[in-house]
Amino acid sequence: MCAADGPFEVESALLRQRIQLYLCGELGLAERQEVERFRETDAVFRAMFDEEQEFLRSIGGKLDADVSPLQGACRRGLQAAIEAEGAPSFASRLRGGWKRVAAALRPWEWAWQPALAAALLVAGFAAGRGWEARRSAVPPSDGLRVLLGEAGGPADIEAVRLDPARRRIQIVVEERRTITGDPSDPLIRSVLLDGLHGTHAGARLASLDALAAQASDQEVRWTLLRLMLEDENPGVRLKALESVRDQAHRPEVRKALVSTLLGDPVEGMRIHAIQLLGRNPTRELAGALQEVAERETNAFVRGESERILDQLGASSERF
Amino acid sequence: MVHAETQALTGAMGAWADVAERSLIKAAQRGDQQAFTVLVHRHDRRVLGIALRILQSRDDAKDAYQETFLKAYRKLGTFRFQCRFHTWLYRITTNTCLDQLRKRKSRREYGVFERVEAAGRSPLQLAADSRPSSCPDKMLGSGEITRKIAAAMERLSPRERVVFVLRHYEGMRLRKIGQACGMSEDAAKQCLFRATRKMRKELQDVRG
Repeated sequence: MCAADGPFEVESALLRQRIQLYLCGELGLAERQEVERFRETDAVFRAMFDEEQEFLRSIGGKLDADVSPLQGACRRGLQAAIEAEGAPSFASRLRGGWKRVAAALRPWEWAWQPALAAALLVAGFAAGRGWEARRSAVPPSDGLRVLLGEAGGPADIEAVRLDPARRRIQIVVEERRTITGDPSDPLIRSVLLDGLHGTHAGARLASLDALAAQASDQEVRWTLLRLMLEDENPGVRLKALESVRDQAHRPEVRKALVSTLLGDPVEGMRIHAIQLLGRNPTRELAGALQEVAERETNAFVRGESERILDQLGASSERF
Repeated sequence: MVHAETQALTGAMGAWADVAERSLIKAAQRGDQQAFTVLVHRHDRRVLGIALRILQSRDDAKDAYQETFLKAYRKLGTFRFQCRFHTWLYRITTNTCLDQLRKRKSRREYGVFERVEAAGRSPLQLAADSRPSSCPDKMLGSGEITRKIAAAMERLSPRERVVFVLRHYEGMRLRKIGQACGMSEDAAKQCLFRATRKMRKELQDVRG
């Protein structure tokens, strides 16, 4: 605005500023209501409002930056830079220390070199014995037994050990069993719960599938929640979240959903979490939702949290 | 046993967000590089997004990213939990971007927009329109608008540009923008008004 601006231009600029603040959600309730009242009653103001809204809409989201292609390269570059900053001083300290020790020991070379070699030999021998003792913790049977799998074929042989002195042979086999039963059977359930801790994501997903119907059981539910929060595989986390969908009214599930909303790196997880939380919004969610409104990168999640906060009559900003 | 686990999990979940970050920051302050890496991974997406939108150049954004986190790494010991960690980090990000914009201006360097026009497409356009949800027609229109917005932003002062991006593309509150840019909320407000007025003027044909 320049000095030559007339009163109308000044007023128009001020009104535009007020509209902008309204559209950016920066006005308090009373000011918002005032803008809305003007918009309903004053045609000139309404035209100005629509124009401003259209302008912000026309530029909104147009600079969406998908950072994913850059993120990996940036992280690698940063890691290298940090290592370059931190590592040399540590390495040089280490190198300096070792040089001092080596210089001090040099006159005694004739003594410590054979001693070091003998010590290494003894340590290697002891480690080998210890490993062997652990491997044969189960005492060998009196006669040679061939273990067969349930189907009648030979089981997987894990190791074969010969003991020529005692004329014995020890075969370590991996035993396989098939367990069949009702999903609600306590034994089946405990095996499935164990399966959720396995290393294979596919097996965890299959176990989750089988347990999903039992989410009302407290032990199952807590296991599902732990998976939802901690499993490294996003597919497993999502499946776990879907499994507790019908339990979203329970306080512990809601707390876990809040944690997912605040901390899960996968947007899909956060979207599911806010949708489930939004079904029964309660005042205790306000703090978490304000944090989401402040820092969430996904527009849908941010918008939903603002909507729920509005529904709760809470501000979307923390003071 | 289940009860004990229940209590432990409830406690862990309830305070997860704040406590975990606080302990990560403290560990990083003690020199734990892994903790710092976790903090970087938590916040780097947004830092990179801010840098990319403000600087409108992939290379400059990468430089700003590295500079921001290296500054954070070096100065982490001075962080005293008087504000939230991300606020502190965004302040470093915006200052780094402002420095880059000023250097660019003082070098009278070609704006990114001119550089990318020479190359055919804007980095933002490449990034934004690579989403599968965009249809080809929409991509063309959106790309054109993106180019015009990028060109219009070249006319803003570095500070106006930062405030405009933080408000309209990062959705930050004016109070937070003020904190991030080291100015009062009122100053941020006036800066935003100026920027929006200039942008409206530059983009009149887009609106039409």
